[in-house]
This record gives sequence, C-alpha cells and structure tokens, in this order.
Amino acid sequence: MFSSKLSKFFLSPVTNIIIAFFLLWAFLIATKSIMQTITVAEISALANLAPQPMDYFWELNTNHAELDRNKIRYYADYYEQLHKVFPSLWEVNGILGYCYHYLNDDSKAVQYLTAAIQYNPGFFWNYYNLAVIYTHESRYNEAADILQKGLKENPVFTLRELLVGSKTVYLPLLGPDLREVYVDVSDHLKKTYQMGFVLIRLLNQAQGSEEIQEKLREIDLSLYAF
Amino acid sequence: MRFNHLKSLYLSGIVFLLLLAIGFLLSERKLLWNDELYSQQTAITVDSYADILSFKFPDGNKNPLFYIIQKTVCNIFSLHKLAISPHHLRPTRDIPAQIIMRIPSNIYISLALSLIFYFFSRFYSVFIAFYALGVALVSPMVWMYWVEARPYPLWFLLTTIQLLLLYCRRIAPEIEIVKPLLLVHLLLAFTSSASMIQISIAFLILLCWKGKYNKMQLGLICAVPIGIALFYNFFNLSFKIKTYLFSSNLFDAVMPERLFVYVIYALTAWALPKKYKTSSGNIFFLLIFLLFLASGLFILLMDLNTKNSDFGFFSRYLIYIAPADILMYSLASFDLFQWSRKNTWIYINVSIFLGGLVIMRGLMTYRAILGEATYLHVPG
Repeated sequence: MFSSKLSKFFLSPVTNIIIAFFLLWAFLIATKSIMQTITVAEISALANLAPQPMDYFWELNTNHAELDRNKIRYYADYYEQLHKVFPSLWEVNGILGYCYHYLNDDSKAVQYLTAAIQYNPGFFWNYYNLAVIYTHESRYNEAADILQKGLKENPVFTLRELLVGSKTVYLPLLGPDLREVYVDVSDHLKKTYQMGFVLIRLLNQAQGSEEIQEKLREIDLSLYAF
Repeated sequence: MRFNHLKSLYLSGIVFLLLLAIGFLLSERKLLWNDELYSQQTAITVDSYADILSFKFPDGNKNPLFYIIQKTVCNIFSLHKLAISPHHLRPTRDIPAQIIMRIPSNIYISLALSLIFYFFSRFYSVFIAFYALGVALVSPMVWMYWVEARPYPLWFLLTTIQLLLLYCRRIAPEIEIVKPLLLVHLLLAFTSSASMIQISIAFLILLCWKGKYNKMQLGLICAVPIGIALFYNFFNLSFKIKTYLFSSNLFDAVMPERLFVYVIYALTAWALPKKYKTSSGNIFFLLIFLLFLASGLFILLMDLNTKNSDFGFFSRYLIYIAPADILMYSLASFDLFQWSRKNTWIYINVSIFLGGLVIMRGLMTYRAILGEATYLHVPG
C-alpha cells in the first residue's frame, strides 16, 4: 500500500516537474560556483608556470648570455598567464613586448609595449625598447618621438620602479639580494640613457640621409628586459 | 540505434584520428618534465635492448615493455639523448622531442577511448557511445596522462582492453576471449607489477563466469602473468611510499560524484520492480567494486606500514581504476536511461541529472588542468 503510494508520488508529473526544476537550479548554482573558482585556478597556474630559475633575463642583460628562443618562449608562457589574470600590470606588458620581439613577432611586441607605456608612462625601458623596434622597422620619426618622450623621464623613477615598485614581476627577475644587483642595474640604465641620446641624434638626422639610415641598420640595437 | 561491426569500426576510426590529432596538439603544449626526462636520459636513449631486458637501468620500475616500445619509437625517429644533464631535469621545451616521445602515449589513450567508443556503439547505441566518450573526456586522469612519456598511458590502454574483454565474456559469449585476455595479461605484467591486483580480480570474475572455460585455462590466463609480475617486482627498486592525502589519491582516479551515482544505481537496481529492468550490466560492477576496494585497501595497508617515506604516493599509480570508472559510469547511466525510458518525466530528470554531472565534472577537470598549467605552454 505504502509502496504503491510512494511510487505514484514519484511517478506523478507534478513531482517530476518540481524535481526537474530543483535539479536545474542545483546545477546552475554549482556551475556558477565552479566558474568563480576558475580564476583561482588561473592564479594557481602561475605558480606552476613560473620559470625556475628566473635569472635568464638578468644573464642576457648583464652577462650577454646566448639568446635562446626556447627559454624566452618559456618565460613568455608565464607572463602571458600573468597578463590573462592581471591585464593592466604595466611590467607584464613591458616584459611581454620584450619577449615577443625575440620571438619574431614585432606587431605583438609593439602592442604590449604601447600598453605598458600607457599604464606607466614613467618607466624608461619600454620607450627605449619600442624606439628600437621602430628603428628596426625604419619608422625613424616614430622612433625619435617615442625615444624623446622616454629620455625626458626621470631615471630615478625607473630605478625605483624596478627595485622597489614591481614586487610581482621585476624583483623575482633581479634575484634575492638587491644590494648585489643595484650597481649593475643603475650602471646598465645609465648606459642605455647614453645610448638613447646617441640614437635620437641619429634618428633626427636619418630622414634625409641614406648614410645615417645605413648606419642605423648596421648598429646592433638590442632590446632590454630592464 | 546500435551500429554493426563495420559502421562502428568506421566511426571509431574517425574518433581515433580526431583524438590522435588533439593529442599531438597537447604534446606541443606540454613541456617535458622530470620523470619523462629521467627515463629518457638514463634508460631509453642510453641502454641497449639487452640492458633494458636485464634490468640494468636506474628507473624504479623494471618492467620492460614501456621502455622497449619507447626505445623503438625513438630509434625510428632518430631521437637521441637530449642535451640536458640528468641531474638538472627542469621542465624542458623541445617541440620535436615533446611530440616524438609522446607518440606512443598519444596512441594508447586515443586507442583506449576509441575502443570504448566502439564497444558502446557496437553493443549498446551510438548515443551511449558518444556519452561514454564524453565521460572519458571529462576524467582528469585522461587529460593528465594523455601525452606522457611514462608507462601510465600503456597501462590505461591495457586495462581498458582487459575490462572490455571481460565484459564481452558476459554480453557476447560467442567471442573467444582466452587468447586475447592471456596476451593482455602478459602485456600488463610486462608493464607494471602492480597489475597483479587487477589480474587477480579478473581471475575471480572469470571463475564466477567461467561458462565453457575450465579452471586450467583460467589459471593459465592469470597465473602465468601474475608470476611474471611477481618476478619483475623482485627486481623493482623498493621505495617507502606513503599517500599525502589518502582520499585525494583515490578520488583523482574515481570521481566522488560517480560513486554517488553508483550508490543511486545500486539502490535503484535493488528497489525497482523486475518489469522495468529490461537490461542490466550490474553483474559487471562486481569486478569494478572489487578493483576499487582492493586498491583502497592496498593504499591503506601501505600507509599503515610506512613510517618514514622516501616518496609520496601519486594518484597516477591508480590509473588502472580510471578506465574501470569510465566504463562503469557509462554502463550505470545506460541502465538508468533504459529503466526510466517508460516514464517521460523520470527520463527527463535522469537525463538532466546524469548530463549535469558530466558537464560539472568537465568544468572541474578544466579547472584542475588549468591550475596545473600543464597545457599553457604555447608552441612555436
């Protein structure tokens, strides 16, 4: 008796419509909560993607290590993910611009470097790197304009941003002991400013002179991560 | 709609090629990692076939089948030792090596999933075949080890074939399974010594279902492979292994929500009047319950007897449960669909419930794989 009443109850359309609504509601809630935690997964992916050790850019900058596109791609994967989670981090845009230049994708590099300048107009390296790419592309006027803007920025601000302001991106690249790298970094920045002044002079003269353009093509202009 | 042999084969072939193509894309995006590099650098590219067969390589697992196949593939594609020190095995980007080293594993998993697809399209329906493929593709173990130059994908394939053969014994007794099962058990024994658990359980099941086979034949199918597995176990390096989190290790292989479905299935099978139960695969579940139970007990005993461990126990050591879980979940779903077919409303609810669980598992697997960042390495 009880069993037949129970089965009637479970087999009735009304009960089943209520169950269907309940199931759909439960799945929607569950799906929503899983979707929310996907951002957490994106962040935990960062820890798994972080290159170990992180000294390759430093080695490239200061010790002129051999350029290895596989390694640069490895770093770019990490910064791509960081960019996905935090798209407006200026440092990430800057580093990605640097990486994509060496991955032979200058259009992406320009895009990232322009964004980096937009998010932090005081950081010198991004202006310099963008000017170098424009120079490679023979866009001398644009290169001169952007470099001019960069050279007006205070180098102390760039140094401060590099050594203090960027805990997520630049500090891990510089290593654990800042006292060790401080002299090298400031020295490197000084040299690049000097190079920038030389370059802007050439760029300003380049428009009318084939000889200067030839000279600009001959100079080995590198981008710097910092 | 059930397909005949030829149509099923044709469709499964297409599924296999599609999965293979996906596998190649995944290989490009997954860097070579420590364990793969270690086997490659210290055994596969260094030792001769004779060395591999005589246990003269430093890997803990001495069962040679994986290493022999891997060495052959590397020889065919002229992949020699990578320029990496075996003492500093960091994640390595080497696209040709990533693809070549994972060709066998890609074939194993693609073949295993296509066989599951073939089995369901041949003996059940095309709908349930696609459903089973979906169930397989939302399993985290599939994505974790699809492209992995280690023995786990081979183990996954052989377990799939073993389970399908055993189940064929039940639903298609005309199919001769003794020789193929003996071959699969031998290959399992040459792949991993831990396979003796699943071979022993297969023996118990075959004893229950023996039909036209005698005990001698059944003993041969299982005793010889168990002997080989034990022989290799004697040469395997013995490490003290302990789980970091018992339940986590177990539930990476068997999804907790699937266990919930199995409970519902068992209750329904018990409570439903006979007239509704037109067909059922529930007898097969005994095998999988035993497999699950034996694995759980094995880990528990290992945990209780290990005080200071050398290494952690990883869920990949239980990869053989994953195909069992995929098959069992698909079969349970098929029965639940069949039993509810006569009442449209219940059928709709069962569909929402089972479909919803598959979608949710898909999202959770996506989240887990994303968190691991396994496939976030852009090729090129």
